[in-house]
Amino acid sequence: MKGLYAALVLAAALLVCTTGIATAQSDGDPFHIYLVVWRGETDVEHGFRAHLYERGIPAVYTLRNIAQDRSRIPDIVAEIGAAKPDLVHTFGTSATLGVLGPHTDAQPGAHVEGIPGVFSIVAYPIEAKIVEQFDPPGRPITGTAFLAPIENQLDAILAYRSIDTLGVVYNSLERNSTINVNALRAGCEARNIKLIESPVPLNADGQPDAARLEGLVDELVRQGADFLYMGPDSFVTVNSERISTRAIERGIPTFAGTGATFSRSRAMLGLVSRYYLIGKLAGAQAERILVGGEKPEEIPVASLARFALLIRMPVALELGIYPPMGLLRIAQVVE
Amino acid sequence: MSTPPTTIPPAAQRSGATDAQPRAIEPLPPVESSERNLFRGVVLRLAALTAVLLLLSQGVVSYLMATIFEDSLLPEIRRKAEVAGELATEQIAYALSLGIPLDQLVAMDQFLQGVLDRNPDFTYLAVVGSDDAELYAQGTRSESGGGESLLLPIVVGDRTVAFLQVGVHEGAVRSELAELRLDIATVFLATLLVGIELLVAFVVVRISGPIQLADRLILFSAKGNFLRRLGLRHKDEIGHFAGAYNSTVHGVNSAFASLSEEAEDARAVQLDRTVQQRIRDVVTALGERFRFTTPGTEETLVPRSPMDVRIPLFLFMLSQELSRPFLPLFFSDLYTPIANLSRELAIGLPITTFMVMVLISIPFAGALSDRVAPRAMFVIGIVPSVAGHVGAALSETIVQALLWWTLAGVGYGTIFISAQAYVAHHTEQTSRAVGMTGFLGAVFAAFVCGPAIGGILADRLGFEATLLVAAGLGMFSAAAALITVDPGSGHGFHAATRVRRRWRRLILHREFLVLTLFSALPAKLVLGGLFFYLIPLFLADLGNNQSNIGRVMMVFGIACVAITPLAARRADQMGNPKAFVTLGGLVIGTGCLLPSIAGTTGLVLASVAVMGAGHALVTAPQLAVIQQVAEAGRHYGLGPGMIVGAFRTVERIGTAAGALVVGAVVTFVGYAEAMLAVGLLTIAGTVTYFFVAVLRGGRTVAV
Repeated sequence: MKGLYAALVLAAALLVCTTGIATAQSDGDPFHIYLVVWRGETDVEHGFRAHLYERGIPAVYTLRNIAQDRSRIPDIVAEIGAAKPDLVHTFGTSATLGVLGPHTDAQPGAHVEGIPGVFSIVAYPIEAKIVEQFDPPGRPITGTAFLAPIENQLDAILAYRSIDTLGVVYNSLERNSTINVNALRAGCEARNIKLIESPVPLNADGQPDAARLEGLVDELVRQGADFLYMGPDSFVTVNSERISTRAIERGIPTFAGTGATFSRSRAMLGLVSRYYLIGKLAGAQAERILVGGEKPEEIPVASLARFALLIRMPVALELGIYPPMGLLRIAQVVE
Repeated sequence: MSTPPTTIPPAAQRSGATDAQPRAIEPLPPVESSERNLFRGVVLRLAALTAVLLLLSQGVVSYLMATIFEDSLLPEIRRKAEVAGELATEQIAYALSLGIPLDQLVAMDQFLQGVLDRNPDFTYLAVVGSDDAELYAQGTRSESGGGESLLLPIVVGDRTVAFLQVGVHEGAVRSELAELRLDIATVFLATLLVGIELLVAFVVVRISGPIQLADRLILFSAKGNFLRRLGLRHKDEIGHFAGAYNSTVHGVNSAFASLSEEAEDARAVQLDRTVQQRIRDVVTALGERFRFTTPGTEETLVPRSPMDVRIPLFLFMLSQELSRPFLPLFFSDLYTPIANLSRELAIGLPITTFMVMVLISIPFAGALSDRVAPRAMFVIGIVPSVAGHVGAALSETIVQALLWWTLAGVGYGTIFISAQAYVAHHTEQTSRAVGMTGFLGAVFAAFVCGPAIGGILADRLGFEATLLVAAGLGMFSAAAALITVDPGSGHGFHAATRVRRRWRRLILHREFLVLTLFSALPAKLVLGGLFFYLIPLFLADLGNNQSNIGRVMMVFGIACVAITPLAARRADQMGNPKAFVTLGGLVIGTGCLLPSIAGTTGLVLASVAVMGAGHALVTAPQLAVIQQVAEAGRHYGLGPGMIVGAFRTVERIGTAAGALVVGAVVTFVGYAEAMLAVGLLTIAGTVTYFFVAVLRGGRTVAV
């Protein structure tokens, strides 16, 4: 239903944008916006377009898909440099770093310069060196933060069920993930929850060893973990179904901190940002730059005020860990 | 054939007799005081009898209504509980539909407690399985078994899998019933008062007034005077009687006329001069002993009394009092910031401008009454009043409402003066006080009933609709005026005394200054600022509905009505009105202090009752003091009417300023604190009055 709605809005937006070009040209060109995506267009881009459409801002879009292949980035950067669009929107940490570059040790010519940038779905923009800080970003790039604060994530788990021990499986090679685990540690300490950290052991190639995942989950359960945590971690996301299934077999539920992890896995609980809403928020940031005339370096990185609480009911029933009545009123139950 | 009916005020001098009469007609004999008492006795007995009958019938009807309402109220409360309970059953059913087993619902205690918290009427909630086993429960089950208990099904798919048991607070049912009974009692009291008021006025206008007139005419004709006929066309016994009397008068006059003709004929044929002279002497003597007129030229007398205006005036005042309990709240609802006025000041503003317009329109209406009859003025006055009410009801901003309400004030002032002029015109100087008592009776009866009825209407219809009802009642009062009030009479009475000239001299008059400044102004500040403005806001703030606010305000009127005659009599007996002025001032001030003990509805009610009693205590003695001043004023060349008029003007200024002054105070402090401030001011003023007027100036007045 949601997807259908988004598609309709998108279709309408495209229709009006194409017709809008003709009308807009009389009083100035429509804005030209590059949308750089990591693995195809998502609801983020739909939301982005929908916002500008709803606000009556004429725009034409050029979509460029990296398709998870970093080698394509230099061509896209060169193309953007030549086209000189009004704004570039990037999806994800890799695409953002690849196209817009970090704020430190920038290599001249390697990244888009002199064009305002808006990023979305970057878990840790500061740690990834995309911006110096949230307010103000300090370079002509702003965007949206999409992770629910770690406190909210922990409170969501506690609202479902009081726990003593939380287990976390993560890839210690990913900066995102280690930053998140640090925050998680502090949050658990504040709530008197014992956190058992379980970094994935590396194999001979120095890469995290997926074969060891089931054993890690077993060990966490043996040590008393009564909930398993999966944060913003690419390796964990890719293997999230295996991890969460093993947890169910051992009788404990899994929590997912990002939409991607939740949807790929059999996590029982998730607190995530809606991509469509993130896209609209990014659209609002773009509006401030394009129409409001504000400088992107002065626009704080924005985050949503509300997150979606997701409960995967079949898992809850299988585990016999039922959601409390109060949570059912606010949560979205998924199959 | 008959002369057009002319109006004669009872016992008023009527110098211009018909042309047919060579000699001036002697006036009708004044009503004997014993007759007056006789009729008062009849009216009183009738009123008492009607009151008893009304009381009985109203009592029965009220009792039946109460039981019927209770029967229909219980299902209503039940339905309310059902709606709230169904929200809970739906959520339980949802959880069950997700596959959670009925006996393993998580955190049901908090869930049920939340439902209890959101529904104060609920005492107890329990989920009962289809096997009657209680699975979850929250709250306390009433031991006495009182109150209502509902069993709501929890349906998943098509199957009822469990029930939610809802215990409804016994008190919730009881308080709704108590509220209802209070409403019925209020309506009962108000209709009783309205009934007696209308009955008394009706008896006076249609029965005792005509009988008195007929009685006087019969006495008149018993003395051989056949110059007047009764102008009564009622199709009732009195009307028949009047017809019989009139034809008798007509017959006597015709007989005399034919007798005169026959005598003239007889005289003409007589040759003997002495016989001729004798016939003439006999006829002349007859004409001297009795008073005849040409048949058909008898003067028609129509009974007119100041009571004629009482019904329309009562209806009009009732329409004005309907909005009393909610007016400040109505303006508060419309409030949007205007200029730099605080909310409190802005909503007091229309109340003040209304009174200011009353104040301004009184001299204008007085001047108008030179040329326009009171009845026409009454009808003219209705136009701005009704327009003001309708306009205020339809207003969307406070500025619009302010302008319309100000217009309504013009109507109020005009009608007040027209009624006063009519009463004054129809009463002699000596009985004017009695006439004015009837006039004030209508105002007071409305003052008692109006707020209570208005409050109940406002609760059920809303503020706007109640204002429209008031407008309708206003138009009805104009229609009543057209029917009962004589169209022509009352010209040229100077109701408003022209004061402006000698103001300065009056203001320098110490006794006058002391009374107005330290007694009258604080008392009116309490009336205009606290009673008209603050009390409704305060009571609403304490969580009272409009019906309750109206009832509390009715208590003020009841206290006034109950204590005024007592106070007037006691003050007369003691012969020291100033002591009463002091006592009343202290009572009013003390009343204002009560809510600062604790801001509860009970104490506000007590405060209103005490303030009402205090007002009753000061009003008559204040007038007595001002009469003394007026007597003394003759030495300064100031007419007594002018001094009383000036006193009234100052009082009205005080009432008008009240809402603004208290509004300004309320901007900064709470309601109870504002009342405390006004109360302390009143007490301080009264104490000053005591020292200046009673202790030191007590004997100087008569000098």
